[in-house]
Amino acid sequence: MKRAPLLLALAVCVAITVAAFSRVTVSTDMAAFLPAGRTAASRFMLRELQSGSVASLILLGIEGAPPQELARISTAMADQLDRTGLFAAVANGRQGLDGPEGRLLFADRYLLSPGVDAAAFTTDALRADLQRLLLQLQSSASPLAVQFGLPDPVGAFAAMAPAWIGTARLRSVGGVWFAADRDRALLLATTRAGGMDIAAQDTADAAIRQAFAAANPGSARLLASGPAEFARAAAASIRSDIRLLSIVSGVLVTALLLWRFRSLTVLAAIAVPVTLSVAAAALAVQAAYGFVHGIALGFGMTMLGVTVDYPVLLIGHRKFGEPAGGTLRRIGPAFALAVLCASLGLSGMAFAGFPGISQLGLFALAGVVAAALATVLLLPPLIVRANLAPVSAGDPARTLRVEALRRYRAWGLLPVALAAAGLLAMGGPHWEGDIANLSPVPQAARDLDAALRQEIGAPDLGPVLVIEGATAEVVLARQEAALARLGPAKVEAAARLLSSAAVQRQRQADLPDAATLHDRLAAASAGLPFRPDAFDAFASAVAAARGASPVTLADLGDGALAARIRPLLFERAGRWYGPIAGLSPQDPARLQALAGQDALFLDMHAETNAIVASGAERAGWWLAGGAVAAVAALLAGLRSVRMVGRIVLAIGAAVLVTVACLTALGQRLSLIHLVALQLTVGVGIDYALFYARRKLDAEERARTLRTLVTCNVMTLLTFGLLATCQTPLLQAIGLTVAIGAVAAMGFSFLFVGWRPPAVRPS
Amino acid sequence: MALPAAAALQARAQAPFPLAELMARLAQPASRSGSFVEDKTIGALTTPLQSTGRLSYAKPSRLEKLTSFPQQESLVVDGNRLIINGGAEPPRVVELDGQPELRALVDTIRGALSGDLTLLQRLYDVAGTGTLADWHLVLHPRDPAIAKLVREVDIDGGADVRMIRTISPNGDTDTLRITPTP
Repeated sequence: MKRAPLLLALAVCVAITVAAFSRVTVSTDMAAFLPAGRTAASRFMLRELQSGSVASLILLGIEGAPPQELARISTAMADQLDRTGLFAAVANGRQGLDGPEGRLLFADRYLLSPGVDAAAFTTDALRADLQRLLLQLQSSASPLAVQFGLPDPVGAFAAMAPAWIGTARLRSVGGVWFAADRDRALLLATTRAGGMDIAAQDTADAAIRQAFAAANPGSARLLASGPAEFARAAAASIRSDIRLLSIVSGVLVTALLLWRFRSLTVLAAIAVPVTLSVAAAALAVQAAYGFVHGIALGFGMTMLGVTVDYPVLLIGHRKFGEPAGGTLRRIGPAFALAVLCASLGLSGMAFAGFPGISQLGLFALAGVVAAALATVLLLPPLIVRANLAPVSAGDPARTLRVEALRRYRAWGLLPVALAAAGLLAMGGPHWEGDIANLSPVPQAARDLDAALRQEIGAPDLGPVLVIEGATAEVVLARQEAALARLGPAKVEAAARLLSSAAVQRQRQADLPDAATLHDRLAAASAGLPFRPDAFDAFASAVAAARGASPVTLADLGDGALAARIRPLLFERAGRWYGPIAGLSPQDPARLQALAGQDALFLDMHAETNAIVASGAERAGWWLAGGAVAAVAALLAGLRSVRMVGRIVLAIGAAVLVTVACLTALGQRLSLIHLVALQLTVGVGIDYALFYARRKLDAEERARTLRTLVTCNVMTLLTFGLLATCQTPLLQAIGLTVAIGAVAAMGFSFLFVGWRPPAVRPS
Repeated sequence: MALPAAAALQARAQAPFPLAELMARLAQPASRSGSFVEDKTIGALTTPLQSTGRLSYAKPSRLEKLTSFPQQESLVVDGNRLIINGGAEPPRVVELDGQPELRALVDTIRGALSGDLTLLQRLYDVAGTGTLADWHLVLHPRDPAIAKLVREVDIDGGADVRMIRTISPNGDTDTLRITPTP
């Protein structure tokens, strides 16, 4: 029964952790990982990434059934999703321009069409139009000519419709969108909730899957890509990687601990602070930020491998039968200083002003502190009650023979020199500038997103010229001026759809009055078989346009037309914005040339990377600050410049060798590597501080050596396995910590440990 | 003299028109072709518009309408794909699967020329009068969406289809007269 309290404590800790994780929201939005922009361009971009129409877009594909069946499912789904009220728009092509939305545009054709000017209404132009119309009436297209040609012989609607349809890349089957080159129905859903609102995105996603199931999909498959999908994919891939690895490394670490302690109960004791640390870390980040970023989560889970050290250090140093306070008295100072240094280093991260890094820092900090507190406060009575300690250590002298190596520790500088020289020869470490490569979203999910985006022609983060103004009208007028300077480029812009009031008034002025139009039509149709009343609908539409007030954004309603133009003309915090996106490769340069007052050129991709670079630099300084604080704490705690110098040498040597190894392995160093190095430094300081303890008897030194080797092998097993996994983020962490921990162990042993006196030859 | 004629008329009226038999006959040749004269009367125009050309059908689903006057135009339907080539502009390719109304118009002509009763009856209520040597079919759309385009289709023929007339809801008519070539 002496184990009962320990097992009960473990059960409580596990329950707490499970409860904590059920309350955690995972986000993978890279914007949430980035620091606030310092330029107008980057602030605009981040705002759009977080809440803009790009972030609330969900791309859907349906495939794996005959085209007719796919079309039916697509329509059924779109209707069902419309009814949920969760979506601002669900587009699948079923609302073409022949419904009420199309009639609205048709009614306003003489105000909105770029084909309307004075030249289009001369007698000569009208006669050419009527002759062409006659030929169309005679051709197989005559039903269309009757429907659209007679009320609009000048072709105003035909000139404006392509811009509004704007989906040249899509094919239509059964009246709905299909990918151009494969049987895949496509839908585009815009959620009312922002892309960052993962809970709302989850609801929307559930509605989508429900609508798909309700459409009796049969053999068809649903493909979905959106913020919620990315978050789930990232969390799932991190969890599955972690699950597999934690099973394998768990078995290995368990075997190691069993061999070392010969007790299953020790495993339960070790699990107490570890589970608590993960729960505390996740809850701390959730409380501070309202969500946990996928990167922080991935990192946080791997924290397991490091916090195991704390209980192992405690139990490993306990003498058999020793009371609770005894062990703590011997290792307390080193343990406390190690935790303090690690915390100081991590708090540098937590305050770095780079949200992603801050989350990591807070996660690690909370985890380390919770594990340390649990180890010091909870564990000792439980251990003593269960009487846990390493099995008899055997002859300390045999273990300590290895200490003789320290007589040759000057040789330890050789690998350091080699690493420095190698790093110089390789031109220093290589930096990773593209944040997309850090994404925790699996490559397959990112590929699917890119494919759907490309097929549907959905807005992507590309180069845009953002026109700004106090009102929608001002933005439209400025866009028209910019487009005029740009010439006949193929661009996507609100002004291509909705003209400014000034331009609409100009068109009104160009329209002939009723009498003039009547006379011109009569002259133009001379000799042609048109009845006198054939163009009544045309004449009355022209007359109505002359008297109408200009069409505004509000007149377009809130249906498909609004969904089409809203991403291109929107209000944010009282200002109006209208991006102009180039559609051909040479456009970015030409758009950039137009940048100026109220016209902001943005290359989203380049901008993101610039933000990362500047943020990384600041974070680097904060990390350095944390390191300085840790050194100060060491000086205060150890009161020996010499000893602190040794520790800094050992840790510095480990960092140098790690960076050199990573570079030699072809890794590009990113923020993640920096943070993993920080973690390594924390682990290394543990080792160094335990080696730094002086005036110990041989037995205690042997205990320390065995315990640290145990810790080190555990770290190597856990993180070494992590280095083999697929998620780039976890791989980077694994490789860095595995190399760093071994190096830190070696250098701490050599440079910091007590050097036995030379054995005199007898 | 009058009585037998009246009796014969009555018998004809009572006996249901042999629609299935007519269609089975029409379905026999693997292909047929002929010249056509097409007249359109459009409400907005004072005179009918006439065009001429050649029409051919080959099993299972290929239809060609090559207009030579007043302007060159080719309209080819093969399976689900409609290709219209008006000369100056690049050919327009339409997937009929995406255009149910257009498909109905194409299938009306295809159904009549190929004697595909099932196809016609899927789209229309079909009523026939006359004899197998001189028959007249009246088709009314079953689907409201198609009724927006076509009010009625009349088809006349004997050994072959001679005429297909499409009447739009607004009263416009399109009359296609076919003279078979052996």
